[in-house]
Amino acid sequence: MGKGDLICLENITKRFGKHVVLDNLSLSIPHHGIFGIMGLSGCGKTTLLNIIMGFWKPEKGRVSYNSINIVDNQHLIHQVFGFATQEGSVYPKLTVEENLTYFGKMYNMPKQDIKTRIPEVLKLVELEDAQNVMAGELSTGMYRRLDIACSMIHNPKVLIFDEPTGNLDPVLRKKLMAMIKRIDDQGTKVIITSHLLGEIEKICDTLAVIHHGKIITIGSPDALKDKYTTDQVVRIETKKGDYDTLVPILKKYGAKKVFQKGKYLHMYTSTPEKLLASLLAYLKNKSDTLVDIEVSKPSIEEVFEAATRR
Amino acid sequence: MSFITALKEKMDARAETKKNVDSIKYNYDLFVEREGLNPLLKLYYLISKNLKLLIRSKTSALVFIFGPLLITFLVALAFNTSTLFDLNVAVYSDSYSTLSDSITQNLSSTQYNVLKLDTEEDCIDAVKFGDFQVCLVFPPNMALDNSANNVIKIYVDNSRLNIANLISSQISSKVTVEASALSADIVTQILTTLDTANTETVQSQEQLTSLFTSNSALQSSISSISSSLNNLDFTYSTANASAIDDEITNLQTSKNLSDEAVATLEDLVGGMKSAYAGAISKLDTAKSSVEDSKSSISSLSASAQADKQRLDTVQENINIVMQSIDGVKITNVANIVAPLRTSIEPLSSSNSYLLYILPTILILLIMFVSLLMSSSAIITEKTSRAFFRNSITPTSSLLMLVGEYLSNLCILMFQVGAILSVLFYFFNDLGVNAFVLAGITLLVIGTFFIFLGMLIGYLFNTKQTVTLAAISTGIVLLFFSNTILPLETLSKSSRAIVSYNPFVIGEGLLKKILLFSLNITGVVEPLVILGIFCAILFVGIIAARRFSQQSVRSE
Repeated sequence: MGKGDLICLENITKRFGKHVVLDNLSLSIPHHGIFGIMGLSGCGKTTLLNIIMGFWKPEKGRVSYNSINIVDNQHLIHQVFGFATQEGSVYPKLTVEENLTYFGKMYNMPKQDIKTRIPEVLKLVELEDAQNVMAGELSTGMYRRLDIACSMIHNPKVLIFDEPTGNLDPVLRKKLMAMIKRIDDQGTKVIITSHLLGEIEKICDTLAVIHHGKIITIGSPDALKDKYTTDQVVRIETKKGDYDTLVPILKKYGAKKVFQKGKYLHMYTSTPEKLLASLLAYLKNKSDTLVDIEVSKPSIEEVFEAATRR
Repeated sequence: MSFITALKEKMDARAETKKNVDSIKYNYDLFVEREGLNPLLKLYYLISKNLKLLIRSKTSALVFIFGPLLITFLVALAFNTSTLFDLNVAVYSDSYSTLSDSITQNLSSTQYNVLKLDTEEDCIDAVKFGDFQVCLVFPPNMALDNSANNVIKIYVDNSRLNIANLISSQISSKVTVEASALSADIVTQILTTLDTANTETVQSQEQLTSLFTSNSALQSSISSISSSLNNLDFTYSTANASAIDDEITNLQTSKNLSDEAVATLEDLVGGMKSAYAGAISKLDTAKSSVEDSKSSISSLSASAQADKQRLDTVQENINIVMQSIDGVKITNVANIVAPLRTSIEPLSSSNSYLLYILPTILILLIMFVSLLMSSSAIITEKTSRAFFRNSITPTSSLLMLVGEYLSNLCILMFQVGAILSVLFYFFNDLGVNAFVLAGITLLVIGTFFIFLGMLIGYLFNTKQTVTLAAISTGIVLLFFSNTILPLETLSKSSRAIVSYNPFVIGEGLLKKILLFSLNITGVVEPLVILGIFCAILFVGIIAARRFSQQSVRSE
């Protein structure tokens, strides 16, 4: 945990009544890259974000932003952080522009700055054409993007997303993730939590796993995969598709977990080269051939399962 | 000094002392620092946002802005009168008389709908079932005579507390008017008789005086006659006949008078004796008669004396009667019929119910509108996700609270202004000052109820519970006021507590201003009390908002 990190949490403990939500948690969030926090529901992700923002005061420990104590400098921290929520924290009865103007004023922005900033954020979240539309009349995706726009109106240095893709369809999720990536590219530090681990994995440069109020692991997605799994996933498709006969043979060749998913057969193995060589030989004997093959590392879900299981 | 400048100075100071310079490195580009906006400008945006939210929510706008105006308009239409309309009066009598018919006629000729029912039970049931507001039961053959039992029974539904008293007093007053007219006739008759008696007595007294005079004259005459009779002398000396006879004899003897002479002489003497005896006899008879007359006169005198005594008694009685008649100081019929009259003098000059009920209606409106509007605004804001975003902006909770309060106050000012303007049109004789003072008072009262509503909004977590709590609070305040039951019906200790009910204070204030035209000095004390209540509530709101922010965070 270096002093040069953007945000440092040191030995943070937070209780709600008798329930310890964060237990002597320590975490460093680097300056660069999207930072993801994974964890089961109720594990303390949102509490952690609220403490990072200075929204909650921890019972014990210190939170600092750029070496400045967050708890003691709330006024400064409010200007630095933006927060986008799952539900969308805007007024449905105000137009997109009115929401942005209102929150800009609440962030002490001068009128001229707001005027300049509104087109910028609307372009970023692709809501230029909806400037005068009532927020309540926006589609779910647009509403979520307006919330992000509101959280960015004051040009924060750090933008926190708490489950940003919740309740969105896959297409909207993909668009939103792309947008978050763009925000990161523009130089705003992004911290994100999501239960959709596959998506978080795609955009995050660093991932932290929180479990039982503690950070149990932290690192890049690949590093975590390497750390928690030695197996690789092999996916094949044969011409004949006679997988019932193939499964016992594959297990014999060292496949640990074999299952069919659609027209593909998936298997886990620590020795994919050896398995594939044996499989090709077997198929040749049976006058069958491989139509498709893919060897990959296991998903982040599996990493998460492995990490939390320990 | 800005935060970043202060931070740089701190770092420079550390560099000079060469302490911990390497261990702490700030990247000043990672800070965003803005000058704080003018709080008034922020307030403008807060209020503007709140008003937009309210107006764009059509239902809220209708309920909170136009609802009270509509209610006031309807109330003004309904109560801008000094009479009771459409009161149904059921009447019954075993046998109607001219008098009962006259009363019935009198009632139906005014604003009452009078219907004669067949039985007393029907009459009472009509009131029980609410078809009629009052039932009058006349005694059979009601008339004005000594044997009459002229008690008219009035049945009213006492469960309708206010209207029951109003109706019974109105009906009683109508009947009293009829009874007064009848009493006036009777008393006039009595007074006329008394006047005649007085005149006759005066005349009798004159005759009595004449009788006194006659009696005195009579007594005087009797006395004079008695005196005259007493003066009569009936005494006489009797002549000695034997001496005359002896002398005659002597003369005869001595003078040798002839016998003839002697006989003549003796005849003469005998005649004289006879006349003398006759005179004596008549004198005795006269004396006897005079004695009798004297006795009669004495009796007559006694009788005259007795008559005089009786006349004295009669005169005394007449004097007493005349003194009694003269002692009757009140001879005016109206004063005898109603020697003590109550005249209810209104403290205000209005002849409309509207002005009487106006303070209550205004406070009622302000209370419910303020309570519901502010509590609803707070719970809407609190349950809105935007509440969270507001909480993470560098805008103080106090400013947010003031913004909420001023937003509600703006709407309230609009309503109060509109209502008072309309009322000024109808009651402009009250003067501008009264309406300005009423406006200020209403805003102070409104502030209290807005604060109360805000507190409720922060204390409860759902719209339903907030609405329920706001309405319940309003009802409790309303119940312990003069509107439903007179406060005088409460125990002394309860009354002392209830007198601090803001509804009661506000109602009293408005009555003083609108009905009794009191100036600012007369209403300062209650306004100060309300101000203290507002301050206490504001502290409560700050605490409740802090608590509710923590709740939102924990969610």
